[in-house]
Amino acid sequence: MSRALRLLAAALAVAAAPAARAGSLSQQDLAAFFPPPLLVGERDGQLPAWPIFRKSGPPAFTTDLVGYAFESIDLAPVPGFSGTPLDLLVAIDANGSFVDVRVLSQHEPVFVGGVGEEPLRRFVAQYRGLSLRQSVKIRTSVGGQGAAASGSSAVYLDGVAKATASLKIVNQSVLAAALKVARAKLGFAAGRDPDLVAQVRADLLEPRDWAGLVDAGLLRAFTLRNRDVERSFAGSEVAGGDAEARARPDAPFLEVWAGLASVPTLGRNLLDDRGWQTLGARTWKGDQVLLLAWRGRWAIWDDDAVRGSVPDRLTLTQGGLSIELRDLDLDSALRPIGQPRLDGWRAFRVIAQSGLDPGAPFDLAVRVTRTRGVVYPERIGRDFPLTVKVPDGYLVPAADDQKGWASIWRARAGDVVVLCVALAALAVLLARRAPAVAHLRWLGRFRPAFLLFTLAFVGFHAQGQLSIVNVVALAQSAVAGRSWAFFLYDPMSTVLWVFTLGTLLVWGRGTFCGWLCPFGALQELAGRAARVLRLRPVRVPERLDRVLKRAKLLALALILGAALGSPAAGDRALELEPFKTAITLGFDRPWPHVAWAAGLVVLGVFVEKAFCRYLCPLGAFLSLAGRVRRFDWIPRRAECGAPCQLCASRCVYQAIGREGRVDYDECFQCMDCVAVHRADTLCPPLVLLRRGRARAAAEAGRAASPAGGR
Amino acid sequence: MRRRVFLSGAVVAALAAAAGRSWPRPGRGRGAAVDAAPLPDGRSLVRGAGVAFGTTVSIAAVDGDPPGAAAAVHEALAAVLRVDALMTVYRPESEVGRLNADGVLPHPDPHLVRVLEFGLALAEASGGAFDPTVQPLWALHAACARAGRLPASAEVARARALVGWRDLEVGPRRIALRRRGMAITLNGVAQGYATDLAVAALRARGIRDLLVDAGEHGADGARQPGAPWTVGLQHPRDPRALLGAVVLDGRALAVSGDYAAPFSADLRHHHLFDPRTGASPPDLSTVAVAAPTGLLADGLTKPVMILPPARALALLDRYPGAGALLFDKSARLVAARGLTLLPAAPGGATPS
Repeated sequence: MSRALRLLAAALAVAAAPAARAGSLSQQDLAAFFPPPLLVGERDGQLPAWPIFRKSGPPAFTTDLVGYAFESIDLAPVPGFSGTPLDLLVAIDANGSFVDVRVLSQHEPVFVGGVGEEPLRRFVAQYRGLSLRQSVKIRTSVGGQGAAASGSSAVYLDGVAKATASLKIVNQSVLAAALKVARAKLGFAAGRDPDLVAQVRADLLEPRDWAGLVDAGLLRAFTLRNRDVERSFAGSEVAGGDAEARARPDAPFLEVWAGLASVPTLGRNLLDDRGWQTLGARTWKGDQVLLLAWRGRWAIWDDDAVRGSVPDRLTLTQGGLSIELRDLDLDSALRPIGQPRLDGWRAFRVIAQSGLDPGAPFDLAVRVTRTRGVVYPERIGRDFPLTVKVPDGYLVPAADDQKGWASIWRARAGDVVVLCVALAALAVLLARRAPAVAHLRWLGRFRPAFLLFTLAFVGFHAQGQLSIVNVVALAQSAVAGRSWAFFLYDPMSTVLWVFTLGTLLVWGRGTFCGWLCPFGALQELAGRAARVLRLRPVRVPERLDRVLKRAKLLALALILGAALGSPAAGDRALELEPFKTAITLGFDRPWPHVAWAAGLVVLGVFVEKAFCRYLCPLGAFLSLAGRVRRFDWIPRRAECGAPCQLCASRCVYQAIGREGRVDYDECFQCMDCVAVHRADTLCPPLVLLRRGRARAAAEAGRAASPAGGR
Repeated sequence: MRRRVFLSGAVVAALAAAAGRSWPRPGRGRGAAVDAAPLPDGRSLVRGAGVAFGTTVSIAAVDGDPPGAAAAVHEALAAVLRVDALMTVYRPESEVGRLNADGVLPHPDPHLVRVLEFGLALAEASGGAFDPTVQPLWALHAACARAGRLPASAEVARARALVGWRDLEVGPRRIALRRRGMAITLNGVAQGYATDLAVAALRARGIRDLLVDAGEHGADGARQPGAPWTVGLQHPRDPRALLGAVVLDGRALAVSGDYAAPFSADLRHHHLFDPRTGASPPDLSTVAVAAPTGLLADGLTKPVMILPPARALALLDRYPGAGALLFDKSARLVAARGLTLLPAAPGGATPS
């Protein structure tokens, strides 16, 4: 393996490292935490959780299941601020109450230096005795929300000054891990595998206005009347405390519309571009975003509430289990799509690890509070339930998880067949050096035609633009030992990656970069079109070209580094790739993105494939990975380089050196030099040879003719 | 489905129960790998536990070599968990789950073939009072119980039409259900079979005094010289009381009761029902069956519960070494054949 490949492997391993960690305790280690009369049972291999029993005897024996112990990192590896997930030992009893939470390992900067680990240990000790059915929140400001906690299903943990962000990660890890175990082991949610929840169909986007969203069931509307609220407070000290309600009992108190904005048909139609992009940047695969809009005499989101916090007036449960909501802090506007006048709206994130199943109904509770007294007001609250369900058409159902990708392949069988036929044809033509790819006359027609196919079919129609994002995701799954099955949900990318990896062995990066990359095709076609206008690409000075070609390795390193750092940084770094703007979204994005992508296409007119050669992180990855290439397949002659410089000067990618050597890392397999090599009207050694033969034949003819008369 | 089990010499260590939900603080340093308690005769009692078949599986082994016994207990538990993973209807990826989903299972696990062949033989012998293809009826009852109602007769008729062991084809190369919508369940025999495998695993490691509780019980030897393994039978109407106790004489013991998974509050409808009619037996509340293997004991509890007592005893007589105790709805012993009911041990506190 070459040095470059080793470097690449190391870089990917580093990028994927956070996901690779796994729990470390053995049954024996756990026995130290749970000494007799407790007994640590056998793990069943379905879920990394240990049953804990209480035994008695001898002489009489009983063995009773009291709960489960597990490491949070095995179930919900939520990355901390150091990039490494925390590991907490969590024990819950058979009713879903916390028995104990302990810190096993943590790298949070605030608890490593500064205040030390003791405050974290004190923090996690507060979980003891709390129930998973409660909504566990962190008190952020001392004394601030104490009153709100009374009579609420929410419980508050005391925070640690300056460490709130890290504690939120701790809370998320504890709750998400415990929920998984509760769902799988304690009979909640009928013992379903928490990984087997329905998926939102990312590929389905229908243009719909507000009424259309309500009709489709994507937005659920609810109305609370004054009368309903008043009735719920009846009998309490604050009954009848609302003059407005007494005056107009049938008037609406609060109207609410709720739905999942992570469903593209809802989110994309309702949010403006910036909001939709922020939503994408702040969520991970499997996260859901709940959007609520309201008008009336009560606000679901209090203007005084801390942005990004857990809402006070809203709780989410599914199957009786509480699931954490967190404000997404979307700072943008709703598109005007015919909605009624609204008093406010807010989007909340539900992380994937919490196991919310969008395919099953989930229950929201809006909390309305009234206060009594003036000096130390007592708050009395009532919850009003709303049920939301995403219509099945917008989901990939969960029960068919195994069949899920198969049905996607069936649905796209046509596209897959077209692509496979095209790839097979391309491979055969390239392998046999058929005239279409090796005779200049035919090459000049076939290549633009194929590139048009790549751009229109692979790119725009079938959405098969490969991206560095795939590489990072696959590497992370591989290192973490997770299945690559998620990739199968995208048949185009799967086929293209398999083909591309295969061709790396034979021809190097050129087959993908030169023939199958839709953005590459777009640049090349733009260049060809510009030539009609007599615009010609320039040659970059040789030394500058060499330096710039290395720059794309930096881009690759930058993206891997950013992905390792934080999701937001990773998302920003990925915008270096114009593929999403140009191919996936067809330039339908805010102007800075469009300017970047269009600018690169224009640049490509003057510097042939400037992006591919100098900036593309995927190109950098493929050129490194392309070192596995087994053949130097571009034919060369002794004369190449010395004295002949024809191919070197014809190569628009400047991938043939003066000495005649082909730099396969930078070759786009345009086949120009291959065609020249066999053209005896162009390739100088051949031309010379032909002329020499002609001369020799002529001489031979002359010499032979006097003696040849019969 | 938890059955209350109680071993003789019964004084429950009340302190553990009194400790309630609070768990002791973890100690520092490494705990012993082996959960072993020394016995007066110089040997040790080694215990292990796991969760399978929706219940607690526990194993006790008495041996002079605690680490060796711990390894044996570990292997025995692993065998039980493997049977659960293979035969549970609750996991779609188990072989039974796949058979039920696809109607056919190529290259089945030999353990599954053995259990199903036994199931078919017992179905034949009991005239269909035991039927491994009862799953559609069971699923209907369970769904209705969750919804808080009893199934309508039309629903029962539809589900019953999908039950029929003669349409189950079992062979070493493939298992198939001949009609669409049919499904099997081994919930009635898998625990007994798992008990057999666990006992075999312990014996293979040289353990001579052992007790396996995988829902059904298997035992060998004695708890200590002169003190045989004894199992208490839970009173069907009072989970804190016992009907009496049964000595495990090397045979396996299986117990079925109307209280374990009731479909109606008056216990007239429950998980033990006649596969041919869908109705639960009107007269019996509990049966205990002892047999040379756990598989046979577990399998026999269903027809013995469902058939009229005279026919149940006739069925038992066809199997050498099988015995049973039958209790009616008011918990009176109405028949005993080849198995003796002992009075409950004095100081009969029940396990909590």
